[in-house]
Amino acid sequence: MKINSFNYNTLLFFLVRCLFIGICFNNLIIISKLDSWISILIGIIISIFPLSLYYYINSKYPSLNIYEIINNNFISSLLSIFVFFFSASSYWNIINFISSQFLYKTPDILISLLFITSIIYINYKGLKTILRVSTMLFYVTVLLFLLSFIGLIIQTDLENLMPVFMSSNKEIILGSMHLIAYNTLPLFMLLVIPKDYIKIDIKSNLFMFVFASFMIFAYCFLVLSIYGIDIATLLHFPEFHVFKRLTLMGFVKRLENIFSVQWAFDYFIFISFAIYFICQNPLLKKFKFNYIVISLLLVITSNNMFSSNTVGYNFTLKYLPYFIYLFFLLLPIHLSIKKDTNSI
Amino acid sequence: MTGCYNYNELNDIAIISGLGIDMDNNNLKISALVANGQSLNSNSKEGNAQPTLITGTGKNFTEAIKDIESKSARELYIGHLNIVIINEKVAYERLFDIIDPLFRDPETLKKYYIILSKGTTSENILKTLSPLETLPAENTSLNIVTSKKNLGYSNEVFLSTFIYKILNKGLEPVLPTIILEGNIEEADNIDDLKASKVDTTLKMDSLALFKDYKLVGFATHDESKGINIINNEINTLTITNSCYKNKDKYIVTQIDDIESKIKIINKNKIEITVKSSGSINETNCNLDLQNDDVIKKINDTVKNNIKDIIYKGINKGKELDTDIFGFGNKIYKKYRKLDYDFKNLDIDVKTDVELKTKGSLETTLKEANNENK
Amino acid sequence: MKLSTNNKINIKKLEHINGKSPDLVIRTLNKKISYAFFESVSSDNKISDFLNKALININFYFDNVYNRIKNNLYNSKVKEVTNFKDLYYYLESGFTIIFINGFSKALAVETRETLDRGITDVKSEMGIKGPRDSFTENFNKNLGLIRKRIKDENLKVCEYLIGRRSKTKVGLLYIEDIAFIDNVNKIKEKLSKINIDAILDTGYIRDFLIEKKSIFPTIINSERPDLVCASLLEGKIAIIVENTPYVLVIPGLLNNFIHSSEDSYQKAIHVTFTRFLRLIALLITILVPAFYVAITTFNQEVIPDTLLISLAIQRSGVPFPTSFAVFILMITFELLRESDIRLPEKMGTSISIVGALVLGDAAVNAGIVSPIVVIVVAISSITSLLFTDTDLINALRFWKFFVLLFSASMGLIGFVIASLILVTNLCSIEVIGVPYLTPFSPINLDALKDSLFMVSRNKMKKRADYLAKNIIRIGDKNEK
Repeated sequence: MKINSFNYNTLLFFLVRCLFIGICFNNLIIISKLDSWISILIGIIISIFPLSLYYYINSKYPSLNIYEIINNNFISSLLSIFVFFFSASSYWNIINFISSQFLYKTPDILISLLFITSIIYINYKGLKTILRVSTMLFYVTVLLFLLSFIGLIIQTDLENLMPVFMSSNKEIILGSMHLIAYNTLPLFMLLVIPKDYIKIDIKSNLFMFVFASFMIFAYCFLVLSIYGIDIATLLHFPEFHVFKRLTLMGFVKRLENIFSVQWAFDYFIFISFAIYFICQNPLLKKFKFNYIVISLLLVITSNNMFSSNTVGYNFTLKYLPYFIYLFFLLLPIHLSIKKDTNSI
Repeated sequence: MTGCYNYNELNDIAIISGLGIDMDNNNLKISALVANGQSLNSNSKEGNAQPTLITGTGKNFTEAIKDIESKSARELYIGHLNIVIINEKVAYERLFDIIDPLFRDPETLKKYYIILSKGTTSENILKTLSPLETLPAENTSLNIVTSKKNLGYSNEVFLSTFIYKILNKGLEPVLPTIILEGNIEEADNIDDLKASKVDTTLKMDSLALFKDYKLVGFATHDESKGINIINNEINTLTITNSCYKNKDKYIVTQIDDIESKIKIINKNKIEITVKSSGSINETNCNLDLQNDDVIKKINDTVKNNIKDIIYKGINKGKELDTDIFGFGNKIYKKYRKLDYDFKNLDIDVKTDVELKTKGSLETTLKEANNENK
Repeated sequence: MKLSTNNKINIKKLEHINGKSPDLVIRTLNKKISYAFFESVSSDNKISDFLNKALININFYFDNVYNRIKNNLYNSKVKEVTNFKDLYYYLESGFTIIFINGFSKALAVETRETLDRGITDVKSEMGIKGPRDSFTENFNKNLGLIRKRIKDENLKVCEYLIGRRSKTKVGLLYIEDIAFIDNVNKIKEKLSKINIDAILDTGYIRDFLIEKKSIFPTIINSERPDLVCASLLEGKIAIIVENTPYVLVIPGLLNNFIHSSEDSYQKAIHVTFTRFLRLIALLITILVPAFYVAITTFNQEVIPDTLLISLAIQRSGVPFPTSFAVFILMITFELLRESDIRLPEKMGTSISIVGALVLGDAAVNAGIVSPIVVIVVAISSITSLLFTDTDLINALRFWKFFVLLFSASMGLIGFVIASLILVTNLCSIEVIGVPYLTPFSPINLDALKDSLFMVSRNKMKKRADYLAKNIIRIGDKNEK
């Protein structure tokens, strides 16, 4: 089964971009305040290390997916359970976003059930469809990004970014660590596709990664330079509110609903790929409709996980990054160091 | 098919295009201008929507809105709010209680105009606005606010700008004011309008100055012009000077292009440079406009005029102790600390005027007349 | 059943099989020769012309009459039959059977009457420029129209006789050094496995050829020879079926349904603009009614202020919810469109007036729907008629209703989710191993040059390699 390299790249693009809105941007503004854009730049440079680690593991065992590389049922199940909770918290994030901005009177469970039907449908069609859909959505996302960038860059005021370096160095580095945790380390999930399936081209992967990170940087930069730090900390989802300032030819004004569909696309691809990842666990692979059960469990978990907004943001700020580093960074380091005991 | 709770048909909602907030003893009194109220004298499909006014009282903002909802037949929809008029009494005492719910509401686009009403209640102002909107698509209410282009002493302030200025360190907001001239009782009679004899008029007046969330004072026309020049929010400025010889005749210049730059020399000294260009609108004096010296003299006079206006604005700010110009903000951005003494700041103003054209005429009319004789 | 050497026995058997239908004509010339034909499918002129002229000169008392007759017949197409099954097949196809006494073989001579229209103009896939001849119901004429356009020795034709009772000729065409042989073999295998009563049209075969069913059409059904030839040159496989003027081309990707054949005959820049228009038309058809329902009932913030007030005024007095009104109007438009196809021309004008009055003025004035809903549904129906293939229009019709259902229940979010499901469905369709949305989804740079935009023909140097193996198209040094 040969997968086109461009499809793979667009999947990478969505995985990098996805968790920025809501969770990561919130953390960044709390930790490194006005210098968040510097944290992002430093984070992009530091993330060369995890990326090369993943590439090394992928080329070392080219025909195995990550579960076969680990070869240990206990650790595989732990990994799957962690990815389950990770995707449950990101699902909570997107449902929170949709229900607070668009349909604030509807109960959350209805929105999450509707969203999950589309995810179940794409998992029913398989991995190839996930990749092809991500390419189609990539075109739309890039178009929306270009339009919003051109429309908003005129309204920026560089004075809002001064004074620079008001946060201490420690806070800036901590912000970069958060960025790496939420935006680079999820690429670990791509290891579930063995290298033989794809014609990998390291240059284009890197180029797509830099492009996605540039988009994240552009959003952060636009929000901070248009709103300044005070309003950005006040508002819930400032990157959504910044779209309210876009106008098309002066009279079509309320475009934020249309431009925010790109985040629905991001989470759609991310959650469906995460469910595919969980269902590839050798213990679960035997059952035929495992993805339906996992998806419904995801809905129930994400609705009842956090009792309120504050608890949820507290958890993703203080505790979740540690788990991400544990599973998505320490585990690959262990895998690359251990001896080559696996054969086909 | 109507599975959901957010479902609202278009004719089930009352579209609110303006809100007016007053004080009523200790309660808030809010009046809402509904854009698609039912009109009684129209045929079914092409009937005009008659804008109607509904008022409600309550201890706080939300209770007053609920009171309005109980009086209206349809659900309120604030998403297309255009204008919020706040009475000066509210601005003196309870502005913060209003800004918080307005900013928190998820439906609105935060870019609606805020105006202060002076000398009258906001309800009266909205009442005067509503008969003018026989064709609500024309949005005549907004034109009054946005026609600051020719005034110079007024301003248009969005809610987001207002909050931005409050939250930023070393910067305080201003708001435009609106007053009502004429007889209030006859304002909401539509027959009056049809007879084209309007007894009451809405008029934009000068700026109101704030410190944090409290109203501290009003500025006169000249002082408002000065404040607007420093904040780069002025479009045109008209300066009238009387002639040297004949005090009853005037020479009027209109300055169109004003740009002011603020430069911080140190924590106690600020330099403002104003560059402008304009033209001569009207001259009834006996002046030889083709003489370089005469033009230079006019230039100098206008320069000093502008300088005076700016100093008036600065002095008003210092008198009320609010830094509405943003000097503190710029000092904070440069020196990374906010300690400065606003009242004793040494501000040096340099102005420069270039009178480019003189209208269509090269000289004055009288001169030409004299020549012919 | 084999033929016997006695003519009388053969003729009796033939009459017994046939059951004495009135168009079977049997004539016995003399003791040696008799011949039979069906009057309905044979041309009497040819029989009297060729046959009698040839048979008069034969001296029947010599040996080996059979060979002498066989060598002396004036017709070009002569076949030998040995059993009654083949004999009956040739009789039905318009051949004349000559029985010769004393020989157990009979001669079948072609004397077919042309029972079809002759080559006419294209009726359903109109164009302005370009050739206008269309396929007919005659198998040989269709094959001829293709052969005269592709005079390559690599064009191969395989013939099958499918259908127990209809024995329809089905021909499979491909160009040997361009098309992938695996695909060709797969299709050949499927065709040979078909076991059905009768094939009356290409639609009967279509369901056997594609295993995975999908709402979107995956096989092109065309009436134009130039389109079929262009597809053959790209590496696709064509199937001609006797008695129908439509030719199947496999695989059909979304690209092909949006293009029209005369894109190749116009300037590239204008074609690019037209194709963008068609893409916008595709999006408008599916998305506009649902988008309208979503933004007027759930998310009113998207509408500009002044428009919102006039929409609200138009809405007052209408009893139905917006989504229900849109749904009813869409059904009415579909009824109109369906009735338009069956309408004979004489009744055209009065029905169209009634339709316009009913849907336009009267419904609005009676207060059943508001005028803007009529505009929205009319726009979406008219843009759907931009495409030529009825299968595609019907597929779009299904998706229109689907997206409307979702957005009527959840607003803009339902709209987005329904379009995500639509994109997923489109991306998951595969036609003999080729994904449906090539060249966008698995991106293919050579095929992109002729997809959404078109570059001028001298820049399209290679064939797309997902379907073809010989990829040099325009003359280069390596071209043979």
